Amino acid sequence: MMFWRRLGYLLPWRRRAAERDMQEELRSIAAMADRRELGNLTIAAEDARAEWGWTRLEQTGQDIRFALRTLRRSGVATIVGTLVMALGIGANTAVFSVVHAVLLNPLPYANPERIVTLTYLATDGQASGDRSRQISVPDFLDWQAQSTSFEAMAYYSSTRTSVMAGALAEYASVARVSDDFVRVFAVQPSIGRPFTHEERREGGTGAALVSDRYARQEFGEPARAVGRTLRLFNRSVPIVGVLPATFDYPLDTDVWFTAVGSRAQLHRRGNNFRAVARLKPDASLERARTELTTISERLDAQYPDTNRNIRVIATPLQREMVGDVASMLYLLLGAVALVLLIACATMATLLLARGTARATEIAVRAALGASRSRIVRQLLVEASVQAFAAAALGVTLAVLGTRALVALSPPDVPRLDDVAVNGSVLLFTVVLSVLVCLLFGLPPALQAVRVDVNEPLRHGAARLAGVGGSRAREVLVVAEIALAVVLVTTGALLVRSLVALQEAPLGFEPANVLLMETTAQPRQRDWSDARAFFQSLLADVRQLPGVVAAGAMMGPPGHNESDSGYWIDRMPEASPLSVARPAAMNVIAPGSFEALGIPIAEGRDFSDGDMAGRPRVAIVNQALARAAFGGRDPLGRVIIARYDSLEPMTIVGVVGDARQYGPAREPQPEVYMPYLQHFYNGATLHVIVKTASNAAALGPSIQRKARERSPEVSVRLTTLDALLAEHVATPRFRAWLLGLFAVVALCLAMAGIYGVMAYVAGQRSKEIGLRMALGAGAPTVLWLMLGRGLKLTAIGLVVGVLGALGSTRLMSGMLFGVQPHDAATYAGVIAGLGLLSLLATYVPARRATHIDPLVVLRQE
Amino acid sequence: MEPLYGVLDLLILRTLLFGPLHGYAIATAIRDSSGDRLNIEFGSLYPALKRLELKGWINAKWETSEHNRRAKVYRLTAVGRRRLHQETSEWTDFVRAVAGVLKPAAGEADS
Repeated sequence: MMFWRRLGYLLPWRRRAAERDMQEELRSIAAMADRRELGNLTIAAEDARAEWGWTRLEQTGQDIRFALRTLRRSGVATIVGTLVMALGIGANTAVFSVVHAVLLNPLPYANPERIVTLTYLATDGQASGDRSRQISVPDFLDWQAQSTSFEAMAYYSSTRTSVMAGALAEYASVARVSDDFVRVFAVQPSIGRPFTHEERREGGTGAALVSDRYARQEFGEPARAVGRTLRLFNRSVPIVGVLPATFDYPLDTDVWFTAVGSRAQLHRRGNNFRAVARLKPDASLERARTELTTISERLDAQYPDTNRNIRVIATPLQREMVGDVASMLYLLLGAVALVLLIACATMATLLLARGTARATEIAVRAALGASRSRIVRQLLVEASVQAFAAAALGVTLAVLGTRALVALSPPDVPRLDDVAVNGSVLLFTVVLSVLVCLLFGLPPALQAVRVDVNEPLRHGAARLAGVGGSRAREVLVVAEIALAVVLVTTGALLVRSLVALQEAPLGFEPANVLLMETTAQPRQRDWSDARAFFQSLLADVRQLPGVVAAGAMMGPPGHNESDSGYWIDRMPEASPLSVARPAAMNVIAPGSFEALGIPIAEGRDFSDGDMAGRPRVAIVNQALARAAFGGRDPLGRVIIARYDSLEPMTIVGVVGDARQYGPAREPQPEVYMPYLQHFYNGATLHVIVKTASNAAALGPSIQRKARERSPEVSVRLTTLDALLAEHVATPRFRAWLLGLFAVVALCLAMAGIYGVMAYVAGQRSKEIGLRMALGAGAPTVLWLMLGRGLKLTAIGLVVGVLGALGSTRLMSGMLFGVQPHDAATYAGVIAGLGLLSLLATYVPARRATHIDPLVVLRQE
Repeated sequence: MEPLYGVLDLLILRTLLFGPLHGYAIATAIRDSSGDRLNIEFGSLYPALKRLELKGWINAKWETSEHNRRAKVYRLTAVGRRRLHQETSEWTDFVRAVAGVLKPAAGEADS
């Protein structure tokens, strides 16, 4: 009843009418009686209004309007503070949203925690060792036969290969999967059916499942894909089903293809597959691991030649998938957390300074009769207004930042499609910013209310500033500098790594080199038609205007993935496949070294005369020559490569070293073999064309030359520069983001020091004026001010360097060409930060020396 | 002497039981009927009037008095009348209870 009546008073005109009515009534009463007898009618009216119940709301509205006015008046400091908090909120929410989607969110499969990967662990007799994801089928079959922890186990290999869905062959990501692959993930086709037994069995007919994305891209809509035929791996395969769009394993797979061929031929060290398995509901990861260790120890004893010191380890799929990305994302998370801390500290210093500066104003209001609770309420509102302004801006930044992160992420970050702004994190950061505002905005003001009203009025705010607040500010400044040191050092190390990576001597010249990945479809058993295709294509390409040199190779420099071993002179008697020295293997066409600018140090390049039926020859790089022959001449010696055949080859040339595994790794020994004498991986070669000018411009005509010969040839054009950029994508992403955070941290810390020093200078102006009146010169005053700033800076730098030494050690895996404790970087950071904070201190200190003693002293 | 919190409401309701009165008249009526012992300023009374009005226990109307003066006159509503009975009996109970506690025990009378 009463509530409804009161609700009516929410309407402004109802309130105005009531107000008029009350004023009239009070006037009529005043006319009847003696004023003194009636008591304080103003308070009576105020209390009566309170009975209508919405006074509090009205006052809050006033407070908000007042707060906005105050904030607008306090200008730069407020804008800086709000931006700072918004940045903290936005950056943290964005980075955590990515971390959540990529690292923490469970995979979208049934009981994803039970899916594991099985990888080798080369122990060398030690407890831990190098993990290798590639496993061999014979080992896998033994694990499968002997283990009891798994509900389903499968192996697969994933390649990008030529697939014909229509008239032209295109590259697609194809996963060859063993029988139980679909069961491991407990995934059902959204359209069509899973593989039948006949399709799955060894040497069976084979069938394909395609991804939702691939079905749409090739056939318009998923339903139309079922029943169509794909041509891949030189055979025709029916599409029996489409897997749901949520299923994406191995990442970006277009086609899952069963019937992997005969297992009998596969070698125990033919590590060309990966393995996944699903734990039984009652089996724990620990149990599975123990079991697998027992099995691999058994295999070790049974096959000492191939399985010595090789163990198998089960790892949850999710952890395996995010692998290296995890450390990078955690690094980013750490960095933004530091930014948030600095942002909070900066905000806090600004608020502390402002709160103390307003002590006088608050005392005046208290003296004029404002009740304590009313003042506190107003201050609360003020702090909240700023906090919510920061929050609103922060939310915007979070949304934009998350999108930017997703757009800029290097290609090896999985599951980016699922990234969305994380509501709970956003809430957390917003609440945090509100708390900081309240925590640091209120106390100085509250102090003002608590003290005797007369005190600040009589002495100015200086008395208050000397108490508690100043210690808090100093601690905050030290913290800001220390955190900034950590971030700037991290950023500097990553930027230096990036620079070193980009300047690493590659051993080849990537400028103006066009690459065309080309897969032929050999019809003949000996692949002679594939060879003829490449031979005539290369002859044609060399004739094109603008072509300086042309060749072709299996693994282009920076992206060679073939990793095997070799022997010199003869094979060791006992075991053909153990103890070969490691080397990269490559199959190349004549002219490739010239096209890549790799110098031929000794001997000759291959020619078209090095073909099938002629003496087998090889070219090695200088790293191999050094490793295998020391100072002696390798030309004419015999080398046996553990590649497609174990036939001896005569070394006819030595070439310069190229970083075949990418710019981050020193050149390794490498064996080059002529393409006319060897099979090459999936009939795929990268045609390499060195051009006089813009390489990409020549792409279309070279592509046409390839397609003219056969529509079954799939091609993909790129440039060597672009290919190399992929290596740098992740380091660049890291360096840019950390660099950005470091700059932000630096600015924030400087703003913090400047703010505090300017504030202190203002507070001490009377003292300074007095000193100057008593004869202190400008230098004395300058030093007085500088000394305090420098002391804080020095403490901050020391704490920061200690923190940086601790934290940069954790990221040694991300560094290249620079040590985590690189002295030059540290010296640079210390000098740079020291100078900047000197500047931030100097400007207000300098201003202090311009104080006119008379003006200041007269203020009292 | 200041009345206890809540008693003011009771006094106002009781005063209005005898007929409608304007605000100032309520104050004087309370003072008179308490033999000048309860001197409640109109200023203290006024918010209570507004509160009772909001609760619907009294209502108010502008009327012109015998001296041709306009004044806002308050009168008891039916709800207010019921409340008055209820509150009066609660008050009597309360006074009796307090008096029982305060009644000096036999032995203490002179100490």
